[in-house]
Amino acid sequence: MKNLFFLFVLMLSVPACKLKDANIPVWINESNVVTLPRDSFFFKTKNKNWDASLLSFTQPIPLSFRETNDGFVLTLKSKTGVIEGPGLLRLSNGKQQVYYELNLRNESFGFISHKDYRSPKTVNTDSSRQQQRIVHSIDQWRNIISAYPTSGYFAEDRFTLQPVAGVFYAQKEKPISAFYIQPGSAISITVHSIYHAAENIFVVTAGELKDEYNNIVANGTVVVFLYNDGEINYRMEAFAVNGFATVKIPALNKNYILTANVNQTVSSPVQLNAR
Amino acid sequence: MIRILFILFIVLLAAFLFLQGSLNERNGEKPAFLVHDYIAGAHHTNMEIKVHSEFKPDSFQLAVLKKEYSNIWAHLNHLYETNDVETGKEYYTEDWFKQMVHHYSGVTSTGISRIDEQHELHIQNWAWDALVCTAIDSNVVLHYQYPDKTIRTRKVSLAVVLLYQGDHWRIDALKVIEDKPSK
Repeated sequence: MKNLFFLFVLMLSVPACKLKDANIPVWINESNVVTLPRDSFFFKTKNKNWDASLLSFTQPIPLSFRETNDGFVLTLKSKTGVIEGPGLLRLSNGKQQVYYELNLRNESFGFISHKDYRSPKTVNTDSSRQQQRIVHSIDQWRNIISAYPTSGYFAEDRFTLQPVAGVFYAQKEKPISAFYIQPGSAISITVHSIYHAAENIFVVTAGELKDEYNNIVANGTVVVFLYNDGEINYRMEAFAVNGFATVKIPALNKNYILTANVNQTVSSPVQLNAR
Repeated sequence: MIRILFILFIVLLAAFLFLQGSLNERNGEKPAFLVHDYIAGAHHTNMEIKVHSEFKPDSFQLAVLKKEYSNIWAHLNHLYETNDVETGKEYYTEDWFKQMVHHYSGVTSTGISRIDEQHELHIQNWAWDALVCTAIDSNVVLHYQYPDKTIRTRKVSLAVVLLYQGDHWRIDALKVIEDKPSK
């Protein structure tokens, strides 16, 4: 009697198992590695009420579902790459769920961007010209590419920039990679003066102002002109433009002794004589 | 009669201005600093940071990085579960966001949630101006919970590029170096 009961249970369970297996779609081109967006997923099944979703390491990847004579085909909706690595294909039909663990690969890198981050972005020839560079490469789908055999995914170095003032690009034609070398302070000041009799003024020009590396000092550098007539000290200021700063001093039938000053740098005294 | 017409005119004018005001009311999102990040707030993970870079961040910078890298993972997990690319945009660079959007066709529910239990962040490069950080996140323990409540645990190693933009560390790129079952 006991054996008969077990036999009965066994007879019931066998068709149940078969029914379950028959319901699960058969992945015809099953593979652990899926190349996107090229590969499609071909499934054979009689029941076509299945829903499918693909998960990359970062996000769900929408799939297109197309019925065929004996099943269905899944393809990527967006023909772009993904974050490579572990993925999961999920088939669901009501409460029935089937999972396939995958390794997702992209068909190509797409457009590779080589990143070159400089720090600091601005240096001054008076100060340190040391700059740090961090480099790595990223494919079009935001996967980091191992481009540096000795250091893996990332590389870094530091170097001394040439003392040439200007705006430079770390990467050609990429303004976002620009860094700046500012000219330093003026190291010597030459002063020229001309007396304009018609207006009765001295036109005094300081320049061309250059730093120790022969760069013209920055526009806007303040040049202070100090002069006296033997009794009173006068002061005028002017901003340097393209290395020159000019002031107009009323002659007032006086003679002056003048110096031009940029910070701690002072020119030789110049005599201003009205003729 | 004139008085009634005048009052009617005033009432109509007031109603018009009121309705105009209602129409003009901005329905846009609040600025980021006024938005409470519930997803990041509810997220907890264990994180150890080891600095291997030539230039070292200070303790304050490390604390900020630790907090914000945790927030990044809160949103990566949310993204994994829902494909909601927008909620975590404060923690994505523009290029990362653009790539995520390629696979966006609306918020969904995958039914699979991910919990990052542990991180070991090895800082490889730290920019002098503290705007770039590259790191290897090794021994990341991830728990995937399926709709039938089964849990799959994986141990993962990642390379990650983080950029400091707009008051946040943001993820710019990623590489899954290794993914294996956790014992």
